[in-house]
Amino acid sequence: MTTVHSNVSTRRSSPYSTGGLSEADIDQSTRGPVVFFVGTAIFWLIISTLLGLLASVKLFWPDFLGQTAFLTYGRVQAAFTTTFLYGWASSAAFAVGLWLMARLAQNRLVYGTFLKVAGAFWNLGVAISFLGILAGKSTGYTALELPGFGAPVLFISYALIGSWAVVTFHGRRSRTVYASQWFLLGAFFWFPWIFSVAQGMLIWAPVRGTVQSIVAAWYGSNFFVLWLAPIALAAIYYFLPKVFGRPIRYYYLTSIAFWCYALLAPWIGVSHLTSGPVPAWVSTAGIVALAMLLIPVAIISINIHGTSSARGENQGTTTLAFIRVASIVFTVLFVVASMLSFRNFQEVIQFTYVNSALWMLGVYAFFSMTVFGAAYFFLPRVLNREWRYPSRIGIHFWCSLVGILAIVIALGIAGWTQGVKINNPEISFVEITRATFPWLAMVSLGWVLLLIGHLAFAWNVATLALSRSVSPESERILLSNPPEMKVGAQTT
Amino acid sequence: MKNGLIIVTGAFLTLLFSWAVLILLNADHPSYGRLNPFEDEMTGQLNPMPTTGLAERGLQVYVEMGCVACHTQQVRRPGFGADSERGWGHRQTVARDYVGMEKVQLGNLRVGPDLRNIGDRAIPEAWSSLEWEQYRHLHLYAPRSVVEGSIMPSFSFLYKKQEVKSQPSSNALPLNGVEEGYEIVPTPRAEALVSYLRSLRLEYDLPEAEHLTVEAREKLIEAKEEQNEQE
Repeated sequence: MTTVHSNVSTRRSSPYSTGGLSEADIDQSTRGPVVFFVGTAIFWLIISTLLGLLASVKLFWPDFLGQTAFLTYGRVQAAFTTTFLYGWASSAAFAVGLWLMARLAQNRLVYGTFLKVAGAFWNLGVAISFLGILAGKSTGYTALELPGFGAPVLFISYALIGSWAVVTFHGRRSRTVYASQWFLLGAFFWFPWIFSVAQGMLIWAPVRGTVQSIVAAWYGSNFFVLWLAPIALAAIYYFLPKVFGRPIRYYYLTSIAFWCYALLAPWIGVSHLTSGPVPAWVSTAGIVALAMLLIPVAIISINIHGTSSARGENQGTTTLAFIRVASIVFTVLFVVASMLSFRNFQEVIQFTYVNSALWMLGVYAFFSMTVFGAAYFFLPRVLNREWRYPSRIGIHFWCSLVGILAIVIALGIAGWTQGVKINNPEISFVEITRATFPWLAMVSLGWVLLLIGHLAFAWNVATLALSRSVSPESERILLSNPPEMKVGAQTT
Repeated sequence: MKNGLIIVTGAFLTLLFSWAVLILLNADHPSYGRLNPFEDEMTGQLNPMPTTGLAERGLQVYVEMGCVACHTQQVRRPGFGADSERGWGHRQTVARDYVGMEKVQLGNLRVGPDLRNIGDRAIPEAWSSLEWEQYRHLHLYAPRSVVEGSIMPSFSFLYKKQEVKSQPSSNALPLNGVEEGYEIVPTPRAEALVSYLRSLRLEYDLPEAEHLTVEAREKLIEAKEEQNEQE
């Protein structure tokens, strides 16, 4: 056990394992690509937040900016999903993933310029997909709305970025491979797999009939459980021991959790096809997998909540605040999702805003919050500068937290209301719509909060990147290494 | 775990497992992925009819406008929700109902009603003087003029205003308040969209869906009641 933890935070004190490279050296080597990916990710985050806000307003004010084809609800919604998943979340996953990969492999990220070129192509792919959707080139499959001409650009640039991560891993100087690295390797490997399957079987050589719906459900869910979630888990498994200065609790169970997760998670996407025009066993398999997934989720929850229940010296750090929220959401999300997958609940919520609430919970409250926390940790170290306006970090945190809570709760209530009323044939659709209005207005307010939070985030990062000097005192506080882990003390 | 290769191989195999079973197996299955339309032996009619011609172009319009964001195209079995009571279809939709469609737009959110059977649904009585297509055009052009309080966006950009020539066009929308001497007519894309909506019908029966109809459910309930009475 001790060796496993040692590569998380004690390598600095062990010259044999670092090969003479300090964390600062490694961080410097990641600067170009990581800052590039964070910058472009924030750009798309702001765009997608505006689109999300616009789409949410249109749900109770249909004529708002509605006189043109390119701003009709269906297109705005598809553009929102695409810019959020591919522009923001994936770019952010690259930044976090590459930085973590370099640190955990104790290896420099070499030839950063190539990564930036690949990243530029990725952004080009997102941009043409975004414009393509507004111009009416959406494919019509959830999470894969990006048009056929955008996908190859994304795929080629991904091939470069993903292989960079693998090469960095391959050249590692540490002998052990830590849990974060399993999740990172999995994610970097799974994403091209699911993306090419979905492209191939839906766009280039479409399968027939409702097999398309199975492929789309499989892809849409795997985009989260096999691409975004593992990156976020890798970050959580890295930061918690660092911040608390103690190893992951019950770490010996983590490998079981990883393999159970890898085996079961790809199945859960089809669980919501209950009573749909697909073979009945398909949705049953999905529901069973989702229930069984609670085993790895429980282990991971014990790992992360067990580690973070201790009182550590760095309790008040920004990173921890974001990651605490994300950790709680991780557990809540899967427990709620598996409960709601049962048929009695599906009868009510199957085609309602409750699914939108779960989606936001996953991609925002879990994944994005983790990324925010990670960024507040690695950006000052990568840039060797200090956050200049800590109060703005507070604005970002509270706006994001309150905003997403408002959105998820309001969508949940709106969805439940909608589902119950749809199942009562006496109630007309207009009445159903009216009943959801107050909640949908609350969703829009939530989006406004998210927008304020994201602007604060963008401002924080911009001032950090553009500031010139580091004050000696702040360097001591923020750039010093977190406390060393008490190796072996907390393994039971 | 120290070996990166084991992790990558394992990750490959776990995903391969779900892909092979959920997708490959289904895509190649003779009674699912390789289904064909059902031929009615009496009439020689193919059910469902493949979506072709104008309706096929309409499907493209449906996709590009993102209608799927708010409308599903799947009827759940009678007794599970109130789909049949709402008149969305007399039976559950099954895989064969979709084999003629180039893109399947099942959808997962019902901000508006299900559309799988809209082509066979009568228009509201208040508008019974209109043709089915006319009513649909009016609804797409100005949703709130026919359904007060509707949340559907207007698709007025699929229609054009033109000067009335010697006599009004046959496809002009029955609207009040259009400027004197002008009329609103559908563009070819609007015509295609409405033609596609018209093609979404479930009036035929399929052998594999016989037990999923409203009648079958009523019979089942009756049988159960009888059984209870006997006991």
